[in-house]
Amino acid sequence: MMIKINDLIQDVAKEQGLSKVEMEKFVSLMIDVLNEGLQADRLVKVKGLGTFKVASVSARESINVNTGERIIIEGRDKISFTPEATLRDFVNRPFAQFETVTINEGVDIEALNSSETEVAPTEDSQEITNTADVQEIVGATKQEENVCMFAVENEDEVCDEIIEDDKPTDETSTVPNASADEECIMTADSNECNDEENSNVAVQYEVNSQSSQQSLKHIIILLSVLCLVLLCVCVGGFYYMFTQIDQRNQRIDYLMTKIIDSKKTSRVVKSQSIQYSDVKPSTDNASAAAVKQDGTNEGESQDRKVHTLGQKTPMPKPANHLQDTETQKSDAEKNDFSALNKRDVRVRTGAYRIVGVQTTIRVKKGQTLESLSRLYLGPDMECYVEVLNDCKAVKAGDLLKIPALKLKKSR
Amino acid sequence: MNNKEYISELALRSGYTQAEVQKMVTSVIESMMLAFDAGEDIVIPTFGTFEIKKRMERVVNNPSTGLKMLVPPKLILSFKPNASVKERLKNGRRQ
Repeated sequence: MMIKINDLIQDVAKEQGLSKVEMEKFVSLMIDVLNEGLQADRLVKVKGLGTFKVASVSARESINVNTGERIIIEGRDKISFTPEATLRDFVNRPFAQFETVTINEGVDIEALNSSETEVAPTEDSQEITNTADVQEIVGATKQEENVCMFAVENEDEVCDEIIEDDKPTDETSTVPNASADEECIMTADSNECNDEENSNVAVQYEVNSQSSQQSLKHIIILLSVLCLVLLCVCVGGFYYMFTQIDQRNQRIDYLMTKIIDSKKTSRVVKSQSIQYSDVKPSTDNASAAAVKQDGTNEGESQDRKVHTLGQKTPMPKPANHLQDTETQKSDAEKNDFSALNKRDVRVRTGAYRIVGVQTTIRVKKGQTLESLSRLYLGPDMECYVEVLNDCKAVKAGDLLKIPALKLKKSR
Repeated sequence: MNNKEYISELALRSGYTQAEVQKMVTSVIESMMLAFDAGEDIVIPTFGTFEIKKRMERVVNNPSTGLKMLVPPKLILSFKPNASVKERLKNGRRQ
């Protein structure tokens, strides 16, 4: 039954015109290379035989059957072997003519009882309606997006942000609801089944008609609930959109008023500075600086003078303005990377986006951009490094920024 | 490590050309297949055991359609690594 590999290779040795000893050496070398490859790469593919893989099993808790104590089984590596398709088919030749067949209803009486067979079709229809409705919802959200696009055509970036923000929330809001509905109905179904089983109503015809009526009712309820959900999503989406637009309008108004104010103040300062002709050049410069900084900086006496002269600058502004500049700053940083993300097709369509610089390294001799990106980010991630550094190749001694990547949200 | 790398590594160490090595490897595998055909298990002392096992027919549920399917019996080739290989893996993990 069991034979060793060395007994096998006599024929092979003859075929290859080698002595048995040589062949044995070769086979042992084969195995050695296989072993080392497994340790080094954790995966070895051999043509004609299959794939050997080292899979790691994480530690788990278990119970000692004899003592009842909890024990922890340590994680380990195990070798899995997947034969190649040809070898698999070759081994399975004796049973090759069999195919997987579906069992018709009512063939296997033990496995299928009557209640299960009755419930099964209703479940199917529910699933179908569900998928259809989900598609409808997706369509609706897309329409909303289109509306957004039309409404906020001027600022594409803002619009994009809205859409991105909008979409996940919509989906998350709908999906749990849908699943909850399903669960409700499923439980209802199971209750129904229990009732039927418990009561054991004799006439099956009645049961059938009942179940069909109830399934119809379920479908109607499901549809109405889904309609409601759809409505809620629509209303929520529009509300969100309007609030966003409103905020934007407010911001624009605020900026406009600020610009007007700054113009006024500068005009006032100029007229005043003509009067104080002895300090004219210095105050003029200072006033310009002050107008630029617009009250964020305090302290210098000249600045203060300008402030007292141009008292038209409203009091509550500075605080607001500070916040505004901060947000603008962070926006600018974000935009920096988002512009990077948008510039290259591979990054735009890739699974990750650049959110920052992870490290900066100096390229050593013999290292390429590809090898470095593989080292830091994994295979086929060169495009992110290329885009961040804006170069296609590197020389030894160059500084290379390695991007910090973030997985894009799955849609 | 794919087949190409495996063969080239083997050629490097054994001193044969890559074509020769590939031919020898396939012939070894073919002889193994003949042994499998005869219903024999193959023991490789420093690696493990290849054996043919029978999987019995079973009934499965298709989760998306709820249909029950009968999966036929089949013969599969399984590989069980040697204790020494397992030990080596364990050590490699610890390092």
